[in-house]
Amino acid sequence: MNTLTVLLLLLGIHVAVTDRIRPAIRSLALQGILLGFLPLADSAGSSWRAATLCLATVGVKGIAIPAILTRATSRLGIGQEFESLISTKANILTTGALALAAFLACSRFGLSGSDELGAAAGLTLIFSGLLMMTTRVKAVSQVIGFVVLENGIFLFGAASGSEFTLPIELGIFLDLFVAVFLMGILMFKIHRTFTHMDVRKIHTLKD
Amino acid sequence: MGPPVFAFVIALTYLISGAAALWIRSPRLSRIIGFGGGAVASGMGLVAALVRLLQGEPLRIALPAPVPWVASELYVDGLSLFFLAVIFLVGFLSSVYAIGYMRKYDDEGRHREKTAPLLFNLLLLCMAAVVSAGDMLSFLLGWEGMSLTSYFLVVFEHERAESRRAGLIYLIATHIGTGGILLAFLLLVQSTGSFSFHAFAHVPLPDVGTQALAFGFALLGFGTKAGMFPFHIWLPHAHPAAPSPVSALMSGVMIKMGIYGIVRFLFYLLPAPPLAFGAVLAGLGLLSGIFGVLYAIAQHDLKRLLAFHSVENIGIILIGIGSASACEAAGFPGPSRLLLAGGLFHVLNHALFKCLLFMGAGAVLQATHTRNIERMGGLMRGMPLTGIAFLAGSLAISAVPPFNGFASEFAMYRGLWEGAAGGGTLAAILITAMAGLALIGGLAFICFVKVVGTVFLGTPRSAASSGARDPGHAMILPMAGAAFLCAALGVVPFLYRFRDSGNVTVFAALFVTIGILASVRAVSLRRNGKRVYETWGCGFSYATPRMQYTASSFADPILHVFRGVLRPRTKKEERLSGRFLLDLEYETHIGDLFENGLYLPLYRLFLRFAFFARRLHTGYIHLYLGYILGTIVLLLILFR
Repeated sequence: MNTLTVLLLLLGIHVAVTDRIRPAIRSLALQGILLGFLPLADSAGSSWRAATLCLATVGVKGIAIPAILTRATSRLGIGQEFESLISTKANILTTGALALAAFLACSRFGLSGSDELGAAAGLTLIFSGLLMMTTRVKAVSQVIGFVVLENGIFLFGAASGSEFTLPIELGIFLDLFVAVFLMGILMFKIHRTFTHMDVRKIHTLKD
Repeated sequence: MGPPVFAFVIALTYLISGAAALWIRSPRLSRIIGFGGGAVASGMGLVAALVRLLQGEPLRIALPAPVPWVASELYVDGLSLFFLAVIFLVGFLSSVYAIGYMRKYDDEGRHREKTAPLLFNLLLLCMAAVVSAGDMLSFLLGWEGMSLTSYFLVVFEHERAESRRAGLIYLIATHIGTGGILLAFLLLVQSTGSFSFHAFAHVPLPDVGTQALAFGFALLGFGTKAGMFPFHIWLPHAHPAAPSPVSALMSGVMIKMGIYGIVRFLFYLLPAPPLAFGAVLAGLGLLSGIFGVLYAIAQHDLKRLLAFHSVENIGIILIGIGSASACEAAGFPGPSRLLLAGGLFHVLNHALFKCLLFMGAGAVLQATHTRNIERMGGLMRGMPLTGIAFLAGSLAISAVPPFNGFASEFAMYRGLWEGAAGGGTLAAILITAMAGLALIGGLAFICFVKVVGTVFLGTPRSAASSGARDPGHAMILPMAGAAFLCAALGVVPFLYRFRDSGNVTVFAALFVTIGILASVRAVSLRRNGKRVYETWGCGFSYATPRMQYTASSFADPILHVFRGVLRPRTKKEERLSGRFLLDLEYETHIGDLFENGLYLPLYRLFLRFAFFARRLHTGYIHLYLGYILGTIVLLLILFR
């Protein structure tokens, strides 16, 4: 359980600090697959529920979303560079500071043991996902950041012991899938309309 | 049929008739069904409220909770029933009036007139909900519903920029007010832990500071709705902009919802408010009364003038309620009850005569197509019924016996007098209030001499005024009914009083004497006959209507006396040829001291802040996401 959490955290940090897109998507896929095993490792729930969740998580987060993102990057000719607003060094430092903040905040929640680690890791993923969305330039990186954020919420939820019923969990997956799907379509549209993917330039649309 | 079912039937009648009016093709039928249904429902409600009022015990109806873990209920006690009766009475009169008045929108072919009945009925229903609410949530729901429906009615003639501006001012004012009420309620919830109005009555609040804060917020909230000074500025904009039946309803009852809130707060929710609360309230009432009537005197717009009189009468009511609370706090329950009764009686009376006056103003407006009283004149000849009804309303609002305004103010004078006998601080407050009340009464009388004199007497000042005729039955009957009730409510309380003291014969003798004198005078007038001759023309060769005494000249001495606070701006232009006057233009304008001196600067300050804050709004998505990230991190670290 702890190993899984640490692995998830490391993968998240890799996504957050790498400056190339393909490896980030690969780490994202691996993160999704590992997340899928989280309900299996947590043996408290019924096996049917765990199995269904595992399948859905691996299917959506491990396969479908990375596939969409890979296809988008290659079809749009986006290139390998992430293009961040801040330097890689600053990025690493900020991610570290946010991880520290997450662990500090979690220490006050009154959780214990592996729960605390899981919650803190989840919060770190949430923060780093938001940071990616904030600092990265290309639209595809914002989608990646969004998925990392979502993974963080999943991890945080699993650690803090709040269990939803199966339909609700599956509904969340469907939402996520549709959101990423729509973002993919939007990226195509933005690309066709503006012939670039630079989110910085969208502010010219402001009145 | 139990009370809950009956309440449900009334609500349903409002809703169905209002909705039906939307779908009916013929504008005439739509009006009759929509407003007629509203009148029927109001009539049923009035009867039910009066019957229930005589029975006494409060009525509780549990409602399905709108939000989980907050119980919601209707709780109708004596105070609610009284206000319900006022709402339904004015609702009935103005609904009937609206059937006739709203006809003027029929020919536009825009079909917007079909929305009016629904909004009108919803407004009535929401006001009924406000006074019957047993918890804060239902209260606020009703309150917001009332504010929104009345907003849409204010901007009913939305093609006019003036209406849109009035609507905007009203919307802002009413939401600031709701904010105040919300804060006051939340302070109470924090202290008592309950959303119900009736849990408060049993749990004492911890300290006077919290009470004072809550009372301050409540005053801001309810005072804004009531049109209390200095939160009155929306009222003179909104009332003239709305169609006349709506003005009658808003000025007659909607602003009284603020009074209801203050009474509920001060006498039911706060355990034992200190003397200062009542004194502050009476002081604000005094200011409202004096400034309201002074600004009213300065107006040329008939409906705007009446709107300022609403401010004045709210002031009178607040004087009654505030001094009642002060007397209670000082340990004089007798005068307190008399004052509270006087204040509440004035709520009913003001609802009646202000509704009557706005209905009369609507009839005048429809006949002359102007709201400027300087362009009217001589209307008594063309529209005698409207004129007599308006005269009755004017006498009532000026507190002249035997009309109802006198009866309620008399009760207040009695209460103030008896309370002042106690001496001390209380006496100083009450005597000041009494002097203020007297000043207000005198000034109101002057103002209505001006209105009736300029509008209904003399000779017409414009072509439209000379051709004015009385409106149809649908508009005349409610005016006549209101005028009759004004007179009846002025006489009946004294009949009771004299019956109790065994002096009914004295009273009857008084009336008979007055009757005999009046008929003797009438006969002697008739015997002498009429003489028709030219008025002396001050040396001019022939008389024109423009030589009449104008409203401005009538008001001028008063405005001159109070020029220190009113600050009138006058413009006088003369064109002379040698020593002979060719042309003279004279114009006075009185801006609202608070509107220009307090609210406009505040507004500009706010605008500057808004322009500053706009810099945060850059259009960069990354920055927005950064705001979110920063906020979440801060919240997680600072709070838990």
